[in-house]
Amino acid sequence: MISEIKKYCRELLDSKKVDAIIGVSEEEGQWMPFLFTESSQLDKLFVDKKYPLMTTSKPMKENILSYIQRKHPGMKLAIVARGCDERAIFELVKRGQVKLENLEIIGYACDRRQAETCTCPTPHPTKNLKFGEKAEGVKEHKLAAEFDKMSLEEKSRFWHKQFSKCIKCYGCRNACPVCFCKTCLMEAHFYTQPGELPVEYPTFHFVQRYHHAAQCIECGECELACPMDIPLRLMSQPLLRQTKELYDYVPGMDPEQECPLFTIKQERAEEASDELF
Amino acid sequence: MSNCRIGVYVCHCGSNIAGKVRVDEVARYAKDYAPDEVVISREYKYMCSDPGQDLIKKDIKEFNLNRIVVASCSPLMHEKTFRNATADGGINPFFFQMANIREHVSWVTEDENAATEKAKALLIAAIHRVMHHEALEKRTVHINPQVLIVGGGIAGITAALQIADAGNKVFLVEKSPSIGGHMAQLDKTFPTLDCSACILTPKMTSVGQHPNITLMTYSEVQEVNGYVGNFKVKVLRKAKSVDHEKCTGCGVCTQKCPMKAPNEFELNMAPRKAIYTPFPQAVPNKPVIDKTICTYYKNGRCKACEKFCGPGAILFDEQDRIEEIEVGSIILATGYDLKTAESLPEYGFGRYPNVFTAFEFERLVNSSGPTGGKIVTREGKEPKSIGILHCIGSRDKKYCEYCSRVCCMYALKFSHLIKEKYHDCEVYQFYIDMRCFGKGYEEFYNRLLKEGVNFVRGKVAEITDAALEPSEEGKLIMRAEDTMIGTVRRIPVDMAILCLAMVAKPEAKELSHIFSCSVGKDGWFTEKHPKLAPVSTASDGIFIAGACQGPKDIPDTVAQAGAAAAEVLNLIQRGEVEAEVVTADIEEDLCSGCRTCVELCPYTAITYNAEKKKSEINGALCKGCGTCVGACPSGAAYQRNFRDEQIYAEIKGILAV
Amino acid sequence: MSDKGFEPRIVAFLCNWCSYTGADLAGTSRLKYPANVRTIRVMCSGRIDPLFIISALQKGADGVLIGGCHIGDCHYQKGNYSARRRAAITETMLESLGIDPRRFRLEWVSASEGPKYAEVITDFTRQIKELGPNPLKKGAAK
Repeated sequence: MISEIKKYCRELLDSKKVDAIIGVSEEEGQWMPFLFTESSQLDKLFVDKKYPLMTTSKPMKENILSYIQRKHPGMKLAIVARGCDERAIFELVKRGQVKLENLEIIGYACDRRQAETCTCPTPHPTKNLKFGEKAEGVKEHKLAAEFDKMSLEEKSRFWHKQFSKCIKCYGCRNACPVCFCKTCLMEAHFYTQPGELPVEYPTFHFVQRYHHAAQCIECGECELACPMDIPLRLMSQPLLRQTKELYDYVPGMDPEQECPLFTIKQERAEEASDELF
Repeated sequence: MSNCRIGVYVCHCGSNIAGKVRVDEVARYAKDYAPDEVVISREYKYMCSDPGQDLIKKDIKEFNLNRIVVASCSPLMHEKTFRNATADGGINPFFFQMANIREHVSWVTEDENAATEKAKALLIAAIHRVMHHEALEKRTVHINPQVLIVGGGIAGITAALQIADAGNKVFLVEKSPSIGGHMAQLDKTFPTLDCSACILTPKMTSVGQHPNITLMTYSEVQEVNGYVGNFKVKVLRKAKSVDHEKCTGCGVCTQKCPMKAPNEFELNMAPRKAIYTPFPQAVPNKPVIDKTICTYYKNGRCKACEKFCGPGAILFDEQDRIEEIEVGSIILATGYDLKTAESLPEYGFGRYPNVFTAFEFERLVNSSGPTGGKIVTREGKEPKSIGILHCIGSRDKKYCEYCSRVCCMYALKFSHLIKEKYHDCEVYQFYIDMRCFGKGYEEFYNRLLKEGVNFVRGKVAEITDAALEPSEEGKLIMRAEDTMIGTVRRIPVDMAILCLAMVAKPEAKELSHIFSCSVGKDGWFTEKHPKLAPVSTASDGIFIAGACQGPKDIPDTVAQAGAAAAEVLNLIQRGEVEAEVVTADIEEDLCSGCRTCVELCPYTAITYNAEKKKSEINGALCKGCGTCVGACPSGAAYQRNFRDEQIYAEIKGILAV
Repeated sequence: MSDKGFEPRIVAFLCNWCSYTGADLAGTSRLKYPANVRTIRVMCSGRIDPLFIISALQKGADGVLIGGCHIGDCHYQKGNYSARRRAAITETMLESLGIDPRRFRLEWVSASEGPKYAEVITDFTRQIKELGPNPLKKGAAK
């Protein structure tokens, strides 16, 4: 697959269809994002290692795509993207962080093994799949079956235990590709005291989970980043199930689809049928 | 916060509070809870009395206080009083917080201990909160005395005259070429039977001649920006193709014009020309050219009107243009439509020529109408029997659930007019209930009962021409259940009149977006309060009058127009209004431009600035609900006096006891 | 597990125009209800961030109530719609955290519904008493 992708990218660059391609490269044993502007650089393009390409770099307070789009307006870009990268792009489009205009998403599918690593339910781009075969996703978190069976008390105890491990490293937030705020409420003093451990339970983690109630793209980065192996996504999944049930909304599937927490259009429409008296 | 010097005042409210809450204990508790911040904590019999307020003012000076907390009644009752006292004492009125220990504590709690504990919690919450308060300035908004009225029916005309007579400039925008609205089409008005044109025409003429009224006919409002006192309005002035300054209204052009089209004013029962005035009493009584019909616009030839126009008023090259006006308040008086008869196929309108709509009949019976006032069938024959069908589309869950309110009365009026002209004509009223609720209405009904009209209590289910017996041949047969005698009747008539439901204008929804007000489920504009603010809308400075708010007759419409005019004059008289202080705003540095807030704002006060990639709140449009603040993931949006810090402090304090 | 004599502390966020006024009316009508509920006034139920709710629970509230205008009656037209959407998420969130979602309630109380306010408070207090102390309270966790 990689050779096909490289071939395709080479054509794009050589034919000047795009000015640059965002992808992952390897430098001195380190994986890092790279802006390919010459086809000769493409030897270093890799796709088999997971890299949070869309993640907002905290010092820059911006992700790579948004940065390039802002610095070089009008530059024709392509991005070599996994399913999760595409979903992140779509969610960020909805929130005004990146633009789809002048952007080609070169989507490729992950295989089943990769899907298992990330517990990814949709291991392929939904709109821009170009390379590879769709593999079946992993629908359920590895602890979900166990977790769902727990009583409220058991859940409460479970989380107390899990969160007592938290070292407040902000890894879950920093790795998240759909986190983009310039200031984070997880740092606001009324939720969390600077320098204090254990973290305020459960507000600290609740902030991010709630903000992502209809935004989480299930890429698994937060859990992969967590040094204490806290199964954070167990908290998000019921919310995602709910937004699916209530509003038929799955984050990251369609850049045109409006986030249900941003709008009350449906209610406005319903108003016509609402009994007022 | 160490720089806070708080004065705490616990009110007895006579025995209203002190009878249940141990006020001395509460006051002492506050002082002990935060000895550094609470400089003075007092209890007093009546805080709202003058001596009570003076206590606050005196303490501010004496103890150099910079925060005030009063534990007494509901802030909805006395917040203003104590804010004023705080301000009189020399500190910003928003450095004040109230704890409601009367309505929420002493009056609702049985147990003295529980009440005292709860009062402590509410007081401590207020102390925590007030530490995070900030100085806020009151803002006022100037009211531009110019007024826009949309719709030139009787509602718009009445309001325009009242406001203009009081000496204010009014822009009256009307979509069609003349003002007058539906009332101009009516023949007589119930129950007094005075001629509609006779009472309306003088008012129309006054509007046309009024020095304070700028009449903008053949025009539509396209865009409204701004807020109460300061609206900027874009009005589309459709090309009339006639220079109304030069035109003398002699009518020669209309005579000479060779092109004919159905006349909308006459419900298409008579023709008009391509260059036309809609009806003889039109205001302005000057023609417009209907570009869709005119030969010149079609193939570049003719120009007959131009040739015969003495003053040279024809302007074939005139283009639609946008005129911008600035007004301080707006009245919507956009009226109603009748439900289209075609949408009720069971009544055969269009299929059977002699099924008429109520408006068609109004024109038919009008002496200036297409038949010169003769009631005749479409074949030109005098009808021997007429059926008048009530509630067509109204009071019908399939169509409009509501009652259209005017049909019973005009149906009675029709009966009378028919009987006046053809005494022998059989008139049948098919009704569900007779609703004759207005002044003189029931009397009119009683009068009609004596005029030989047949009342059939039952709604016509269907009109058919399928005759079952010879007497029905060539007639329209009304099939209705007569609920008085409990049988289905078939009544053959020569002519049927459908009293169609009054419905909201199809463009009402679009107008509601333009004017940021709302429409209800039936499309009528929603008033701010059904009883106490019947002509206000949710948008300050925008009022509604007449049938655009719901079906109503002429007296009610005129009364509402007067009410709306009074609201507008009130604004103008005041000259300025106090703007909401507790509005929301966005901390620009913190905003990441995610636009979460934009769509949630009910007042379209939030816009996204694409250049800065930030959302911005127009403080003049914001009403201070804080929905955007509750949704902002970055904490960039904040609401004055309801900041996150303030509410968190309150939560902390309320749970500290 | 409910202790005898357990007096829960409940925080109620009430919108200024309907629920707070309704609560005032309960007062002026001298209706009696349990003293466990402590009120925080906001201008609109739409102002309420679910983080307020979780924060109140964390700080020791045994239950949280949100009171807003009835659907269609919002003083600000649509604020309570947002409140309703957020409430649905909050409930799910609480449940997945192992906090009984019955500790949280969203109620529509109009300015004229003093008796309803008193009923809601009475019923909610009874329910929270049944549920016992909030497990998030310090020391409650095992």
